[in-house]
Amino acid sequence: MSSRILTVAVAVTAAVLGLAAASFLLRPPTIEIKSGTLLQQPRQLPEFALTRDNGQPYTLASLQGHWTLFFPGFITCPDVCPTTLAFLKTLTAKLSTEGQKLDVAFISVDPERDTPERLASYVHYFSPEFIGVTAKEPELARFAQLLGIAYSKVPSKDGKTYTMDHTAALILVDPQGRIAAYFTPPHQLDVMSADLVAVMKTKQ
Amino acid sequence: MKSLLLILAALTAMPTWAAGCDGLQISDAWVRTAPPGATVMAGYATVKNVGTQKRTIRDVSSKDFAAIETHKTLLEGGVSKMLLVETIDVAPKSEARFEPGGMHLMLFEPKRSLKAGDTLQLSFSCGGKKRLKAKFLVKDAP
Repeated sequence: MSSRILTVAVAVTAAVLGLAAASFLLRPPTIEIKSGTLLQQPRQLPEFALTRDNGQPYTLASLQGHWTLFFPGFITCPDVCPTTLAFLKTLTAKLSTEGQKLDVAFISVDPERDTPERLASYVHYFSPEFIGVTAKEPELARFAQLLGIAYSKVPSKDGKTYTMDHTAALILVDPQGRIAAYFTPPHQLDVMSADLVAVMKTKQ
Repeated sequence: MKSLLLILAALTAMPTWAAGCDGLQISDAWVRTAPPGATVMAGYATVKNVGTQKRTIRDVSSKDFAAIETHKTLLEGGVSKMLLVETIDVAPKSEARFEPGGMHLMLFEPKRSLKAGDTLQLSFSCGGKKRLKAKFLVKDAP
């Protein structure tokens, strides 16, 4: 009798340990990032229709097979946007020395002024590898919402011109077209590149 | 009585106005290079007040730009915003800094193409006739 209890106890313990080990070994690898927020469950983007700086369509298919970092901004922004684009150039160079390729897509929230031609000369000034994308309304608003970007037009005091308020985060999209992470300013080169390498290696 | 007070107030204010930007010193003045055809550029500098009176920068201009405004980049709830700064007070023995990601000079519609190494002049007004002129160097961002 007691030996039967013992056998049952051993079996139960083994089963519990086995389950624990299995759940430990099978769980998705969790990584912590310091420079932003990593989505534990990447969020799939649906179909969308933007236009690239070369006038070609930029769709969900354009995101397949490589990592993309979206940076929302606008050309008539002489302070933060150039600072961030220069930072992204250094960042992508650093990543490529570590064998990771990250594509940068500047998404203009000011399609009224930022035509594809203007976007091309603007982003290529910072790096020939960068691309610029945008869309006419309401498609831009729809895509921005999917990406978690807020933006609004703010008229200048004299009403002659305007500026754009926009989400300051950078959005990482994985090679399946899923939102993987958000990076929030202030951006630090070493911290962010270490985070990106960790994410890109684990979630390939 | 009220008008007398106003005149008195104006008289007391006069010396400060007449002195313009006296006591202000501008250093590390530079303009960030911009893509060809850029309609706005940004200027940065440190404005130090070595005098004994508070100074207020009220206007900045240059023959190389259609207009100049002071803006401040603000991050509010994850959203990047631009705020117009109308006047800048610089207390004695303190400084105002125009720097990337913070307060900066918005330089509208450059009238000539400006490349790294070029210099240009900006003129600051603190009220009064005398303006403070400063040389800015065009350079790539550090």
